[in-house]
Amino acid sequence: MDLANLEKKSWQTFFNDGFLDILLGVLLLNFGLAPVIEYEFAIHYLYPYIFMLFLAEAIFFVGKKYVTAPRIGRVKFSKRRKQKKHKVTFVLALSVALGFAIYVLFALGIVEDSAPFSWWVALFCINAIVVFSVMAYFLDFPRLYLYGMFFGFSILIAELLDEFIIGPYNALIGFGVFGVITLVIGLTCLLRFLQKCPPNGEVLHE
Amino acid sequence: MSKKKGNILTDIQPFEFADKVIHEPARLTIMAHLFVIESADFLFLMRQTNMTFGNLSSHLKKLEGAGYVEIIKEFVGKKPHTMIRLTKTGRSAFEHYKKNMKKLFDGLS
Repeated sequence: MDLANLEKKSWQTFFNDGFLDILLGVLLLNFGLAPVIEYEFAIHYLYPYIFMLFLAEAIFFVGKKYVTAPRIGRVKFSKRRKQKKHKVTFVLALSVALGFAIYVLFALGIVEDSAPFSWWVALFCINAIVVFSVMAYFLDFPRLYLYGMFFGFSILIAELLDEFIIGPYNALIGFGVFGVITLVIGLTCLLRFLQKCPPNGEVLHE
Repeated sequence: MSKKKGNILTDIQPFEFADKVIHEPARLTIMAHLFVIESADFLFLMRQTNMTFGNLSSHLKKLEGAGYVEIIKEFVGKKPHTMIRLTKTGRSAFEHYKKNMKKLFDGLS
């Protein structure tokens, strides 16, 4: 009996519901849809962006509370696991701070964009892949490696298509394709989870 | 011949060092699951161990009787919630069991 593996298996149970995948899928879609909404309907991209962000988070938290918990129960993990979660929070905060710093540098005109393929695109791609890989490692959630690649490639594709497509549709293609794939993975996981785990411990074959 | 038999009996040590409360496969599974976490509720244990309500309940009663697990009443929001965790005795009993089993299998050739 491998106790470390047993703990890992228990921990990973909470990712089987697909809600994190759905959240990440909506986030990716959001990056593609918000600029298109701004372009087509003259609504500042931040409004649909923030609305969808709140919607995705609401789905995540409501889903975890009312769908996942009544089906697989509640558990408190060890201190070691909590420390790993703190490390993930730290890495995420660092990544957001880095993104914000780059944004400020551009906004103040300290750094200028050198089209067609600027260094900051590469930096954002690498940042996405590194952050998601670190999260995947500390959270023991291998699908995050894949989503890191999705985020990285979305930025890259959107940037490469910018020259050839008029309007913000390059973002829709770049982020939308990977967003839809992530959403489909999440929804498939959720459906499988709902079939496998009926609420309150009712066992299907009994 | 009888001397030889006697030797075999002395060579094979009685299996008493294995804690019988823990050694039963279902209870060993419960103890192992509780050992790697802080605490869990009944439903979580049921899902992880693939046991039925009655089965898990009866094994938990035995473990509680031995002083290896304790039931904690908590509140999740305003609702009362029952969590199960290993006691200090339970944790050290499991460690001891693990050590003994390792010693037993290491000794096998």
